Amino acid sequence: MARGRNKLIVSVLLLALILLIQSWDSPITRASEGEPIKMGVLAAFSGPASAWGLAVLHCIEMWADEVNASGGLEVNGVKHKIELIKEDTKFDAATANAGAEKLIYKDGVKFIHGTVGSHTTAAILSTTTPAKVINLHYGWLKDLIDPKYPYSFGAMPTAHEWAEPMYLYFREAFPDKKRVVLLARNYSGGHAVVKDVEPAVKATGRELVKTIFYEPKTQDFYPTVTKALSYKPDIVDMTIANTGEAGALLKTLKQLGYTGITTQQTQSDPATLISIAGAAANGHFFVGGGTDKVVATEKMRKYIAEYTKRYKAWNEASSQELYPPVVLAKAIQAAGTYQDNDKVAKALQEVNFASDYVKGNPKVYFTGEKFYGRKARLIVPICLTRITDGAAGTVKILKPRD
Amino acid sequence: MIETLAQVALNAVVLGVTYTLIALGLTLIYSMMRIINFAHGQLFMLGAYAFYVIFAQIGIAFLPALLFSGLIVAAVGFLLEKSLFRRLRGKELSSLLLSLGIGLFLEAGILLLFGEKDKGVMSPFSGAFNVSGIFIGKERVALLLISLLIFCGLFLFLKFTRTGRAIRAFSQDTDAAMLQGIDIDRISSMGFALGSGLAALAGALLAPVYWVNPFIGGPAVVNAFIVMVIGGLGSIPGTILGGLILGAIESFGKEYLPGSWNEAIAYSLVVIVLIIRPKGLMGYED
Repeated sequence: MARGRNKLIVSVLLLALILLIQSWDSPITRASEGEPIKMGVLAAFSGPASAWGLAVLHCIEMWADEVNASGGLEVNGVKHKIELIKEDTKFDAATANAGAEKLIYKDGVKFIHGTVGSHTTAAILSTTTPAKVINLHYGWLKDLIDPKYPYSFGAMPTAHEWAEPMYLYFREAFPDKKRVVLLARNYSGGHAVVKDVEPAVKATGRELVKTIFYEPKTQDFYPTVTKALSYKPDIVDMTIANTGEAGALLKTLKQLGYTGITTQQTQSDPATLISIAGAAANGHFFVGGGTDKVVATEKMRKYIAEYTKRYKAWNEASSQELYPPVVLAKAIQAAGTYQDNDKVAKALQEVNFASDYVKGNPKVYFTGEKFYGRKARLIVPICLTRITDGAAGTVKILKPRD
Repeated sequence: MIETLAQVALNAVVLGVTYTLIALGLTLIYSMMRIINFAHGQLFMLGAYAFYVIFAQIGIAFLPALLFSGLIVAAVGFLLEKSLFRRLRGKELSSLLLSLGIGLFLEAGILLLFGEKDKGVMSPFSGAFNVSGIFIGKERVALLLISLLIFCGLFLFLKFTRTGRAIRAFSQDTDAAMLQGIDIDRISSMGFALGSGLAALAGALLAPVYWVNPFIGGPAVVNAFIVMVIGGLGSIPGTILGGLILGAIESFGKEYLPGSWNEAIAYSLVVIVLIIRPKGLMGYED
């Protein structure tokens, strides 16, 4: 009888031990592992916009690896690994739409990072909107985040948000510099940025003397700059110039005798700019992401070091593109779902947190109710940066216009 | 007013010489082999990268770096002709498609090797000359002088050397050249190497003036085709004329016409020349 009781006690203890061991890997002690969350990365990984598209890809890869290393993205107590599916748009509208169709209907993604460029984003909206796929893109045109596209979000601020604060700074710092010439690439993005900058110039009491468009394939800027200088500008704004164009423009301006202020409405890689323009880069303003020694935090420096180790070189565009994956993750967690994109889209508009990559912790959030009709333009730290003595430094963190 | 006009005229000459420099190799290859070499822009880009590595990274002096860049890409051209284009001799469409494929391959290869970022090559000729309010960068003066040396060197090579005369004979009448005992295979390889080397020299010379990335070849080759069509398919004097015309259209058009009319004029001229004189202003009939 006693032996039987002992057997029962031993069996109960054994069972308890087994349950204890099992519970070690159960939701009681940590979040269980759910199915992976698929995310599409649809951007130009080859072709002339690859510097931009690869920066998007690298930032998302780094974020996904970090999330996966921590066990996954926790949604409602369940951890989900992030599975990235990449599609190259080659900066071509038809290829972008084919990529979007493949990501949505073959791979089953509900979230797409990209595309880069307005024309490729415009091309995919007719595919992503009916499929209710959240699209965090890098298109500049206002129409791309119109209320009729409720799942489309601009993943970075544009000249609409920063041109006016930039010119307000110029008004304070250089009150006698009034005559402004705008130079812009003759394509949809160039015309879009001019529409944002022209009113900003006028609103801040500057005089817009001329807007000159140059063809996208331009490599020699002597004719363009000769024309610009015939208007005797105090400020030459290169609007949407990429780093190569900005470098060549700066050099040409200097060679043709210009000594006034130069600026641009886009990011530039300061090291590349200086390697192209040399001393002519000194004094130039551009919109930075806060990577310089003036405002970069230890976290930003570590991020740049890790990025450089992994991808051989730091890409300055990544200083703003590192935020969108974090923002989307926060929205998914707040919505408590990665399947109902009506809830995720709503949650995205409520995301608001302080950046710990830039000193002063500027806010990261969506804006645009007044101008775009919905909060669909992501605001990340906007650092007005100037090159002085061969080094870039933030002169002011701009407060974006709503 | 006069100053602006003089500046615009000077810009036109510099642009014209630049376009001629880029188009010369394309013309040479077309005149010999009737290949419309769509990889010409990528050979130009390869020259710019070779110069970037040799001059900006390794630190070899400007002129030797220029020479090495030309020689390296000439060797690439030599191998391309020997291993690929020779097999398609006489098949113009196949050669054209092959050149497109090679161009894409070179572009993707350089993107993988050097990354997506623009690269700058600091010019050893910094600063500018200012003559009565007319400006020109010292690097552009160097570009003009070296380009003129290249034009003269090419002219003398084609006119007075045995190989040069063989290249001319081959480009004018392949069958007659063969009957005269010219080694067509050798001359084809030499011609393709020379054309590729010229593209590379243009890329290397312009690397410090513009900027370098894997995609600079595309726009360059478009202008080179316009120059070749206007000036004359396969004609070197025609290429110089075409380059100067395109430079003038771009410079004067940009200054005195609204918007992008200069582009419209250049393309309209291409259409007009193709209709009225399909072989170009100084091209010759087959």
